[in-house]
Formats: sequence, structure tokens, C-alpha cells
Amino acid sequence: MKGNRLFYLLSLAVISAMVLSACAPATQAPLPTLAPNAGATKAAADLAATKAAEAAAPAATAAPPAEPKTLTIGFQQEPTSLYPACSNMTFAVWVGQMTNPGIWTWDGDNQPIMELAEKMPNAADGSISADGLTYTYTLKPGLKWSDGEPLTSADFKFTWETIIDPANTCIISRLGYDSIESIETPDDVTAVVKFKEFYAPWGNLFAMSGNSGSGLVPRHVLEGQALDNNDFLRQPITAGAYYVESWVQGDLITLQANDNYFRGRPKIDTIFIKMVPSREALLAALQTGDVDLGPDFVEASIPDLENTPGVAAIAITSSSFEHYLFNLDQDPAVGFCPFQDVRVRKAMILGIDRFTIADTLLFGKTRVVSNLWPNTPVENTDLAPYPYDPAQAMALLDEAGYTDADGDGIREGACNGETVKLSFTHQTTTPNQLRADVQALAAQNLLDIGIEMIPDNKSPDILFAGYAGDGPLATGKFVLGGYTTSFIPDPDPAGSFDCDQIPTADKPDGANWYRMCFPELDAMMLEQKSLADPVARADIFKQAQQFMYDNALFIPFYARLNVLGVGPRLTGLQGSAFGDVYWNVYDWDVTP
Amino acid sequence: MTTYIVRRLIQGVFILMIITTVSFGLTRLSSDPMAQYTLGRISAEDRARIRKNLGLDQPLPVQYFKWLNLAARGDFGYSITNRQPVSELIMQRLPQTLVLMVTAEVVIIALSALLGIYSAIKQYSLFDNVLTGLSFVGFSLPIFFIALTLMFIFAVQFKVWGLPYLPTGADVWDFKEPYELIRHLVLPVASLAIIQVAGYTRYLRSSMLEVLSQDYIRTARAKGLVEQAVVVRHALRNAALPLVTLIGLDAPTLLAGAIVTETVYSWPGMGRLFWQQAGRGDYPTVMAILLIVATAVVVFQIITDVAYTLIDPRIRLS
Repeated sequence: MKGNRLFYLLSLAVISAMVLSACAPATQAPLPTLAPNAGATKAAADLAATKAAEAAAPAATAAPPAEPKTLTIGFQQEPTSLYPACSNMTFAVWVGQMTNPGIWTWDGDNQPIMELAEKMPNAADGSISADGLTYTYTLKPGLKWSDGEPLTSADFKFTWETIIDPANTCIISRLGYDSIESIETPDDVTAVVKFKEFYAPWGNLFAMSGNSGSGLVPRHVLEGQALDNNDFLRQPITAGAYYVESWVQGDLITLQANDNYFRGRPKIDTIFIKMVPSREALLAALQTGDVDLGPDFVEASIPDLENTPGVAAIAITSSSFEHYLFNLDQDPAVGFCPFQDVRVRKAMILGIDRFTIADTLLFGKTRVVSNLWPNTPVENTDLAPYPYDPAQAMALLDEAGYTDADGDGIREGACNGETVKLSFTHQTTTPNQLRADVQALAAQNLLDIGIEMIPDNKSPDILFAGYAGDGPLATGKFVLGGYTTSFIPDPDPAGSFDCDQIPTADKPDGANWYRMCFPELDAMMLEQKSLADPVARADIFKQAQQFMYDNALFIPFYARLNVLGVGPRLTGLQGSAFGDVYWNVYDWDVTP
Repeated sequence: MTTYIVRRLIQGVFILMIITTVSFGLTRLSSDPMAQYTLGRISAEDRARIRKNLGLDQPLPVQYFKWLNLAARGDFGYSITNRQPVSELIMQRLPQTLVLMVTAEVVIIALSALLGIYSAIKQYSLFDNVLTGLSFVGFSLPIFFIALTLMFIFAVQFKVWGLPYLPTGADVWDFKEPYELIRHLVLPVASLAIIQVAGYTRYLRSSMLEVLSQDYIRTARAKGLVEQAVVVRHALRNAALPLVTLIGLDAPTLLAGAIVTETVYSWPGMGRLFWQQAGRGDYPTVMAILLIVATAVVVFQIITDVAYTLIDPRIRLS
């Protein structure tokens, strides 16, 4: 009798839950299969439409539709700030692209597309001075902030002042802004920027790509106020297609269509950005229709996305590259002596089957790269990736004097007067299933040619710790490292290969983790920083890539994929390496 | 009793001091807040400026005492990633965590009591054997597996099958309506409950079995008391002590939240905040949460001890 009562209670609980579920809003229609959007390969017609819309500015403001269109994006990480200059997170940059993309951004073809600027300064019309130090920027006329106030060149100048103001400690990077000497604003649409010294990556300033940059800030809101802990960081006044209506931290960012946007009101009225910190939960949310767009999946998620009904996978080939870096420090106490020999380095590249890795672990959706500027205008496409050739690799190791004298399967040889075994650790980030899988294959390939590579992975906050934090990469306490980075939209590698950027106790913040110092490369990096002509500069980069390739200075693996899950309602996405998918948010639409 | 409580509180302050020292050391040595500024378009000068601004250029003991000095006055400082007061970040999350965890705890205690007592009374019955088996399964399963499985069945598959389904995430902005809140609570609370109920039921069952075999229970029955009175008034009161201990130990987690459950169900609680900020090297936020939870542990221990005297008059604190 009592047993029956207990079962009755349990049944009641289950039924209650089901009744509550039944009270849910009406379920959406069954999810049809979606043909993935073109992603990286965008249709010329779409581009033409985009450019036509841009040319039509300022467009007439369309009346909001009777039934508001909404879209939900699932972010796996929450931005630390919605003003990207005060956040180093890509998620903050994406919100920035949708709300405040700056004077220009980069389109589906990786080309600059004007936002607030009328045109890019150029030498032909004299808006770049002959000495390359003065740039005249022209804004579009009649621009307005999301609160309806006019946006003028005074805001442009104020943005620079805000970024270099020492009181604003939240600003992450001043790179380039600290090269500006002065900005004059002769009228509301003109800003004349005078640089202290020539700054080649000037195109990055005041603009946003899909992975860095920040837009303008409104003087009428922020003048006389410090940026740190300012509400502006959480609810900025912006000038893009959307503005931030609210941010419930940990939960939801609500973006509303900006009626004052120069292209006119975007098609979707409200974009919810929902924090979904678990990748599995994001996949489930995409399947149930709780989320329409899920960025930042990993390559390993592609089959899951493709096998989920109603969800399409978009894999954009990015300019980020996965590579292994040799510790090339010439001091034997810091560097690994055998890596000083180019034959050993080249043997390692030839000895790893990167092509099988790309075909299997990355499902053939990306390619093996030969350099560190893949899918950018400066990529030296003449350089074919080294083939997988274990026989040639072993011949090179033999020639360099590394043989398996003791018969344990691992080669050893004399280096700097000592016998050194080709056995070392490899440090990359964990947890990361793809990296672990690549590492396992690479280790097996290397073992086949007599080199032992032992995984010694670290969490990102340890691997990337600074010099003072005893980070292995920063301090040179590694033999072979591995991570992903990119040099876009401007190709300048920010000192990554400069001799004077090798981190030391005296210069702990140096950017050259490769710890390489080649005078020829150093000279090329110095020269590219001094060239205003983009063609001449690209030539230097191509020469530098040739030098890196010939000297096998690192093991380039593959161009990373930017993987997104897309639900059936969203249309108009066009992905690119420089602009991600958010550059044309004003063209996105949702089907009912 | 008062002397006892005062003495325990003074001990508690020393315990907290030790905890903060160890936590600060571990937090700061296990991750470098500068790690997030090492890649990308950022100059050596920027990195040096950020390190100085964040006070990371000072020796670790100096950083600790600066933090302690402020924390002792209830000021947890600013988040080094979000540039807003840590107390503000915590106060946004605390109510969400309390809603989830208190609901879960109530469900857990109610279900455990019900199942534990019933299981003990009906020892070796089919129900008892099945429950014992399920308890071991529930206790052994990792929470992420339970949470994702429940989500897959009741949120994803139910929708595919055309049945009424539950939501995958928190959607806190919908919580203005109570029924929405309850709908969203069902799966995370169920995930937390499955593991905890499994454990608690075992404790209460064995405790009840021990008590039920005591002489005074036989006496109570011999007096002619109805079985319900024997179980509830005589047995449960004595058998509840171990459960009170467990609840006392669990109480601080009401504030700490549940990292995995909150992550899987996108619940904007303290557990997720802790996990997220720990990964970003935001030590002021991490330390504040650790201090709050450590304080809760100390306080709830004292409350548990006092609760013993109320449940069992034979226990005297001195």
C-alpha cells in the first residue's frame, strides 16, 4: 500500500514536469535540412548588393516590421567588456563588429569595406603625404551615434585621446596609436593624423577585423570620464548596425537594430547573444532551435555539426595557422643544440605527415601551409609545403651526424662537443583533442625516423604565462612548442622575429618566442615596417617567407578552420578570414 | 555554549587566514594573469604597462597583503579582466546560484529522507534492492554525463519526437514568470539531485537501520505506538544526525554553486563565474569567491555543531 503511494508520488513528479513542459511556448516547425551557406566562397551578387547598399548611404530608415525578427547567437565565452579596446577577447571583437565596427572593416573577400569612413587614405589623391607621415581621413557626412547625436571627426580624435590616456588602464593595446603625434579636425568629416614615425600597419587603426581592433568612442558621452569601470564598457553608445540594449552578465547580451545606422535599419530587429559555455549544450541548443548561430566550434566538432539534423556546419578557412616552434636560442643552456642545424629542422618537417593530418583530423577542409601568412594578400603562394618524405628526412639526419648508435631507436649525435639524443618534450595547450591527436600522429611519424617527441602539454594560462609568470614559451624553457596565431589584417608580426624582441630578464615582454636571430630576416622585418607602398611591402614579406622556408624555421601545419554551427532560420552569412561572419550583420535575415 | 561559539569563531578567523594565504599562493602560482596578453597585436610596452597597472610587477607577498588589507575591510577590489567591482560581479551571480542550489537542496533532502526511510523500513524488499542498485549507479556517474544525458533526452529528443520538451539553457531573462523558472529548473535540479540523493539515501538508510534495531524502538513498539510514530518520532530523530552533518558540509556549496551543472545548463551562477574567471587569471574574483565559500564552511560547521544539541539533547557543547 505504502509502496503504491511512493510510486504515485514519483509518477506525480514526472507528470508535473511534463505538464510544465507542455506549457512551453508552441514548438517550432520541424527543422528542415539546410544547405550550408557559401562561407568563405561568397557570391559576387551578394557582394554587389552589399556594395550597392553601402553606396546608397545614408539610406532611408525602413519602418520596423509588425512582427519583430529576432536571432539568437550562442557564445561559449562571455566578453570581459563590450568595448573591444578594453578586452582581448575575440567574442568582444565580434560584438564590436555588430555594434561599432569603426571606420572600416574587411569583407567576405578580405578587402577593406568602408563603414564610417568615406574612403581609405591613399597616396594617389594626396590623402597620404609624400613622407608617409600625414594621413587625411574623411568620414561619411551626416553620421549619427546610436543615441542620435552627430558623429564627427571630433569623436575620431577623442578615440585616439581615450586610447592613449594613461588614466584608462583598461586599454589593452596602444600599438600604433602611440605612434600618432597629433590629430587635427579642420571640419566635421575630416581628421588629419600626423604620425611621429612611419607606421606601416596604419590600416589597423580605428578599424575592426574579425579578430582585433575597436571602433570609435563618443566624445559627448565619455569626455571628462575615466573608462575604467565606466558603464560604457558594458553598455556602449555605438555607431554600427546594432546597439547594446542590455547585458545581463553571465547570461545575455541584447542588441537592438540601430535606426541611426548609416546603411539604414538592419533586417533583423533584435539579436540575443546568449552565453552557452558548454560546446555540447550549444550543439543541443542549435538542434532545438534555442540558438540560431553558434560560433567557435572546433574542427573536431564538424562531424557532430554535420550529423545534427537541422544544423549546418560552416568551416571558414582562416589566416590563423597551427605551427610548432623550435627553440632557436643560440645559447646551448637555453636552446636545443640540434635545432641550430637546418638539416635537423628540415628533417622534422619532412618527417611529419601533415597531409594525412589535414585530410583525416581536419576532414580535408583545410590545407597544409608552407608559411605563417596563409590566406592573406602577402602569402608567398610559390612556396609548396614540404612533402612527407621520411626517407629524405632520415638521409638529412644521417648527413647531420645523427644516427642510432646505441640501437634504442632514437638517434643521437655530436652537437657543440657533446652527444645529444634527439629526444625532447613538446609543449602545446591542453585540453584540446585535435592538438592531442595531431601530436600523437606527429610523435609516431618522428619516432619512425628516430626522433622521440614526448608530449608535455600545459593549460593555456601556464603555457602562455609571461616571463615574470615563468611561462615556458616566454622564458625559453621549452624545446618544441606549439600554438595557433595569425598576423592579420596587417601582415606585421609585431616583433615576433626581431632579434631585439627575444625575451630576457631585462626585456621580459619581448615578442620573439622563437628566440631566433637571423640578421637577414631582422633586416627584412625592419624594412617592411618602413615601406608605405603595399606592393613593395608584400614583396618583402614574400622574401621573408622564402627565407623562413629555406631555413625551416618552424613547422607550419595547417590553416585553422573557423567552425560555426548554423540553424535553419538564418540567411545571409558570408565568412572570410579577415572579417569573420559578422562584417555584414546588416545583411543577415531570418526566415519565420 | 556562548563561550564555545566565540572560541570557534576566533579559531575560524585563523583558519580563514591560512586558507587565504594558501589560496592566494595557489591561485597566483598556478596561472599568470598576463598569459592572456601574450599573443596577438600587442607590444612589449603594452605588456609592461598592463603588468604595472595590475600591480603584477610587485613581489607576491606584497600583492597578497594588499589584497588582504582590502578584503579584511570587505573590499574585494576590481576584477582585472572586467574592470568592475568584484562584489558587483558576485552579487549578479549569487541570487541565480541560490535559486538553483536551494531548490536542489530542498529536493535532495526531501527525496533522500523519503527514500532512505522507506528503504530502511522495507529492508531487503524489492524496492530496497532496486534503490540500492540505482544509488550505486547514480553515485558512480559523473555529473556532466547525467546533465548532458538528461538534456539530450528531455530537451533534444523530446522535441525530435514531437513531445513537450524542456529548455536547454537558463534564459534568465524569462524568469519573471514563475512557471518559466520552474521549467528551467527541472533539468539542472534533477542532475544535481540524482547524484546527491543517491549518496544521502545510503547514509540515511544505514543510520535508520542501526536505530531501528535499538532496544528503545522495541520498547516504543511494545508500548503500542503506531508504526508511523515509532519511525518518525523515535527513529528518525536519532537517525537524522549523520544527515545533518552532511547537510552542514554541503551548505557552503549553496553559495559556491555547481560548476559543471551551471556550465552545461548555461546557468549564470557562482560556479561558472569562478571557473570562468579562474581561467582568465582574474585572481581578485577567484579569491573573493574562495573567501566567501571558506567563511561559509567555517560558519556552517559551527551551526551544524549547534544543531546537534537541538536534535539530540544528550549532546552538550563545552
